[in-house]
Amino acid sequence: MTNHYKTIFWGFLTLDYKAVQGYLEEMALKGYELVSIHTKLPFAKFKKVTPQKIRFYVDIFAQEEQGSYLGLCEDSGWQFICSKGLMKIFKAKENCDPIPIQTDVETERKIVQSAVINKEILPLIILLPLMFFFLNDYLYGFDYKVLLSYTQTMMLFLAPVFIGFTVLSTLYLLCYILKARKAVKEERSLPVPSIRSAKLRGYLFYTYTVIILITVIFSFIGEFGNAPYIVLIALAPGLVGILAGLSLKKLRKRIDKKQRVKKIVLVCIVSIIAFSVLMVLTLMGISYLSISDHESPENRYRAANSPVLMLQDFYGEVGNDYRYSSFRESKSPFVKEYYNYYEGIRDVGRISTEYYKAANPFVAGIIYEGIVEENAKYESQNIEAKVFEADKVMYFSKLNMLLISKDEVVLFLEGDIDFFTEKSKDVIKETLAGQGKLEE
Amino acid sequence: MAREQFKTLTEQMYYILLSLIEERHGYGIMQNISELTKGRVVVGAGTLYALLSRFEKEKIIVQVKELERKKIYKLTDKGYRLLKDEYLRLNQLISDGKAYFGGDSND
Repeated sequence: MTNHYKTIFWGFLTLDYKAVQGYLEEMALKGYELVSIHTKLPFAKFKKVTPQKIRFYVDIFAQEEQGSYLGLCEDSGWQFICSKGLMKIFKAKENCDPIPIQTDVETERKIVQSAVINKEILPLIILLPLMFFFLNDYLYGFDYKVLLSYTQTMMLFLAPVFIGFTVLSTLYLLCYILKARKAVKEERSLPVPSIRSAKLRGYLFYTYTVIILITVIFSFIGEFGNAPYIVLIALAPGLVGILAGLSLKKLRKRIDKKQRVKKIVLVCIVSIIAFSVLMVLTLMGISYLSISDHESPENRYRAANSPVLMLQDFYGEVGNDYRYSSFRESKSPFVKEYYNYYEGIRDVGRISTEYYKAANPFVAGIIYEGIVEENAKYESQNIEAKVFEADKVMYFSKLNMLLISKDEVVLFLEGDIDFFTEKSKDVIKETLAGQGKLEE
Repeated sequence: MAREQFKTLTEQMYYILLSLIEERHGYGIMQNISELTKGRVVVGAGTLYALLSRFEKEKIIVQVKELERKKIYKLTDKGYRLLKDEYLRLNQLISDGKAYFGGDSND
């Protein structure tokens, strides 16, 4: 029984509806007739039939009440098969040669323009500022810190995909508008894309969607390991958006027209308020969780088990009169380990360490150069690398900051410690070589 | 707005309005146009539905009743005036053309 049916990928975009007509006729000639299309997923079900010529018609219909429209089409000889988004798919009834569903090219152009193009252009216009935000990273050099988090790395990776797709979509829409206007002027039918190009656009669209989805999911999973609370808080506004969208969808269907406007306005207002409150809470939560300047034994414990430098590494016993301490760690596909620790102890001093273990020496080089650029305003001098058995060393004398790179490790130190004593050099060399306290 | 939008009617618009001098449902309009023009003008279901929606929005036609899920429309006074104006305009075109072609429409 199952051999009589075949499920095929269905990636056609709405604007390619005229190509769908040809595709279905081609499939019927091959012996497969369309039965249904999944409303959410891009798959269509075909049944095996005797190869034959069947007339199909695909129309665009965007109005809510479709009963009388479908009835009219049925009366005029078209049998409704199924819908996919705004596409309504019909086939000619047996022994019937019905007139096409659209017989006026200008009316058809207006339907397509208001139902498809205007709706698709609006999101593209909204996406434009976001595109410039992404482009900014490429045009003005990107901040090496984006390499530290999954989400920012994801955005860096998605930027060219996103920009490319937005530009292509906009160009395609504009081309369609121009071709359609020209067709109306010349009293021809609206542009009919080739089945091949329509299929290609479908594959492109769904590949893009899958890439975005997978990247976003993986980056959120990765980021969840770095900062679970921040990820959960950041997801909250999105959740409000989804809930509001679902409520509006239900309202549209269930409530009669007179009450609908009032209810929809109410849902919108509640959603906007909830969204705003959540956004404020999100930003407050993120800033609170990001600032971990609260001195705690937990910070010191975690630092002691990480490749960061503490005052006790230089001075031995340092007492317990802490003024502050802070510890942060994260990882990403490009930076496998990142630790940021600083502490201050009364009557002893203070130290700050940033430890980066990059995926490879190239990424380590980007981080090294990024830190140099970030501190370019301070006077600096290159130190002979062999002093620390490293690849590159830079010293910012005014702020007593030391930047060292060795293989895939970058170490950035700052504090009121003399980094050039023999003891200090040994401690730093051990940390760079990964032979510090972790090995003890 | 309606005058501006429907300043001149397309052939299909003209025949739809002409059919709605009498109360008719969608398919009835399609059949009437086909009979009236002996099949020369045909209006597809999608085109008809879109135009009826536009006419109704501009109060050129009005739905008078619904029978067996079929909406029945007729012209409003505004629609009648619009159609009459178009009829007079077309007549004017014919009479202007007569100065050159005389009464022989086959030339």
